[in-house]
Amino acid sequence: MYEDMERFLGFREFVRARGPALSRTAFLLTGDHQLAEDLVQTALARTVPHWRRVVAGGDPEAYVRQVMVNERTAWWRRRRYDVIALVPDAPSPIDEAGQSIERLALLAALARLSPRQRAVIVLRFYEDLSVQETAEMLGCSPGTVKSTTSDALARLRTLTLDVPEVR
Amino acid sequence: MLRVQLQMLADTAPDYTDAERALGAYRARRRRRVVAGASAAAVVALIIVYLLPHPSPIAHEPSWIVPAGPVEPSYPPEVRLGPSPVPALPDGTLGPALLAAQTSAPDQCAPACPDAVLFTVAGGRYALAEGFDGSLSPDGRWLLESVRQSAYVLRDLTADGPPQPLDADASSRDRWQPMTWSPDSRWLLLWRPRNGTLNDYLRVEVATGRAVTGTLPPGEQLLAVLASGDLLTGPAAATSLLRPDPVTLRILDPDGLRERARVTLADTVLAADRTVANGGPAPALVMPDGRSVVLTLNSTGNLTVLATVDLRTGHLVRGQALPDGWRPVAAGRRGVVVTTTTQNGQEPIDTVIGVIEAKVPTSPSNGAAEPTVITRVIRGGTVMLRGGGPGWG
Repeated sequence: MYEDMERFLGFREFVRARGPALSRTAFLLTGDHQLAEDLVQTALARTVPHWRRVVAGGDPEAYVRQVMVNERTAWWRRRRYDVIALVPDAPSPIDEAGQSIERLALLAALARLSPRQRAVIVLRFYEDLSVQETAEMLGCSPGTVKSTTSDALARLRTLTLDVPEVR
Repeated sequence: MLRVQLQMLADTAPDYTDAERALGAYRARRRRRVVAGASAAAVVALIIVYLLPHPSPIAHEPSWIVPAGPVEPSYPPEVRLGPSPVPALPDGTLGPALLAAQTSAPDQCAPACPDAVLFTVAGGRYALAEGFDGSLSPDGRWLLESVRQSAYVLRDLTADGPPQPLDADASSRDRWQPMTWSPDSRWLLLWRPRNGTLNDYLRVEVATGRAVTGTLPPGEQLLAVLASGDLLTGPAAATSLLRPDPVTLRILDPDGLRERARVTLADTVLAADRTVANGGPAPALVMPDGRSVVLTLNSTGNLTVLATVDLRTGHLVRGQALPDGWRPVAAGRRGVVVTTTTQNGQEPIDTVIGVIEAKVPTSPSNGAAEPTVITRVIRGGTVMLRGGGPGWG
């Protein structure tokens, strides 16, 4: 127990402080509350064994986020989780609040992106990472990030979302 | 606009995180990995072949090669030293024994656990006398007994009648130590240290109790007794990195020490960083086929390697690395019995407190599927007396 306290010093505090933000990212990456919970908890459990090293690296949140992105891609590759069916094809006619309609539309649109495209959108337009930072997190070149972003936005545009031009 | 939409969507997500769950998941995975890793490491490492066999046709079998045939009794995959009352070892026929084990927690039994329990092939469990010391033959028939340093006696567990004392010179418990048996259970070899050497030997024909004693020449040490009754010896310096090159084993008639054969170990047996770990209380193990002997080799990095050597040629038949903590205790049918001990509070295999036993194949597979490594568990035991082994260990 003492070894655990020493080894995982600060882990609980980190989760308490950054858990909500990581949860939000997980939800955007999956579009499903259950999957988002699985994803963020899996990422945290994968981080635990390396906690001291991760802390020494200076940015544990980025590490967990990267684990989430990789894990989400691995799920997709294994086809264990396919969330498309969980999201309605179009905004539900019984949704009266405009925001709810927008959220559902965005969920539906994101669900039609590939995991890589979705990750690029979340990292660039929600996490506000630069092309370079996104490339590092995804383990690809900046050029790939740019082209993936372009493709993803084009796809979202066809789904009638109000999206920006690629920079 | 997309940023705002993403933010709105993200705001609908509650906090899913739970640090305790993540830590719990990690600990559970670590436990599973330790258990699986220990088992897998045992199995995988045991079947690692570090060198392939070197076939060498033999025109005639030397006279000192005597196959022992199937000698090892079979027994169930798990035996348990439970707290239930165990009767004392009675006189009379019991049938061959499997093994004996010392209990790990004698204070947990009511009124008290025996120090050690003997298990028989027929399923019997019998308490050995307090202060028991001895050895069990590979076929489980013969039990060498000494209680509280008393003189050794040999008991035939498959027959009625009183235990048989060894020859007068052999009966003094404080002088001789059981070292090993021949694979056919016909011969028992004892040794005693003298002047810092392990040169004094006593070979007993168990059926008659007839004993032959002698002293090896300086620089020589005992390794094993063959089914022919001959001694297998090797240079004492083979246990050191200053060992001779090449290392030559000798087969000697114990009655007069006439040399019957020499076996020079092939280069493939002893790499530069390897030494022979056998001698004294750690005998080499002669396999039931009578042709091969298993040497325990140490190498730098504390790696233990079992090297099966063809006694006719000195060539390596098979080499296997043992996982850390495992040790060879006896030769059995088609393999070497290796054990490791788990203790309460340690974590190597955290659900077992006792002795874990596996069998390492000794012959090459020749392309066929690897023989199964059978793992057995002696729950509640900490020290085991295995048929063919030297004694408690």
